[in-house]
Amino acid sequence: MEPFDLPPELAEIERRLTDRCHPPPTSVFRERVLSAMRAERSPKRSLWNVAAVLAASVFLCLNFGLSLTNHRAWSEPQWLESADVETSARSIRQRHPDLSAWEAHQFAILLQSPPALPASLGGNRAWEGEESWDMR
Amino acid sequence: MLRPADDSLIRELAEGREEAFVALYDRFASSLLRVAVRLLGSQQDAEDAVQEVFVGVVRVRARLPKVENLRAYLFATLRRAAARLVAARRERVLSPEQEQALAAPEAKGVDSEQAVRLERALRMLPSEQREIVALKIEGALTFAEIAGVLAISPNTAASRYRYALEKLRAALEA
Repeated sequence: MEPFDLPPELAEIERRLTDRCHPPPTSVFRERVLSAMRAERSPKRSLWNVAAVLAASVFLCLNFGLSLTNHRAWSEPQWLESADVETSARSIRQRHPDLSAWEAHQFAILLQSPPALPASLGGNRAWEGEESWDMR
Repeated sequence: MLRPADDSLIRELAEGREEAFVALYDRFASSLLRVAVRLLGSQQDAEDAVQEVFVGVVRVRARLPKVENLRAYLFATLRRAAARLVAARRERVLSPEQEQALAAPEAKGVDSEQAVRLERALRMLPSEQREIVALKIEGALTFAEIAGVLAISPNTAASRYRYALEKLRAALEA
């Protein structure tokens, strides 16, 4: 005990404060804290986990990026890039003089909005392979 | 002053032993949480602060042998964690339900209304006095330990505690 005497009326207040019951920490909280302590104790393992997740993310991003690049390279001939419909139509007619101006124009429109490609022109398959664009 | 039990616990903590972490938690979690609730006024914030204390102990375990008083060290760490949380989230005004929950109405021999009045009176104390009451009552720290935690003299700690009790008494009798 500390050498600190309280007058009775203050000792009574102290007793009332001390007598209050508090629920103990829950078992969920206990497990949460102990898990956090274990994780902190083994930072190497945590770092390995982070490294593994990062490596997987980089791999997935590269893979996705590569797929996009490939898809773009296959689905859009270079000579159509950044071209407007009229320019595309002219380019198509130069390479395929057997097409009428209207057909070349329609083709150019379709090329600028891939999902709308009709089945008669190859359907969606036309966007999936380089050979579909072998019109030269 | 280092207690013998603390000495061996600190040594085992410094060695990173799992059972030492569990023992540390089982010995101090309850009182740390009570003080944290008192300082922060929120169970959730209090739990965050207490977790921060324990994780911090693991982080600095190699330096623990330099700690002279483990109990005081833990409460000083809790105080800093609580201050960070208060700064980050601002002190919240308690709802009547939270006040009721904090007042622990199941207190031995104290009816619910009195418990709530005591709780209100506690919250009306200046923060420095409320902190000392929390450390003394909920944390069961000695005045010497409180002095170490708050960087004040033991006499100042004892005086503030006494003033706090006087204010509580006046508030309850008003």
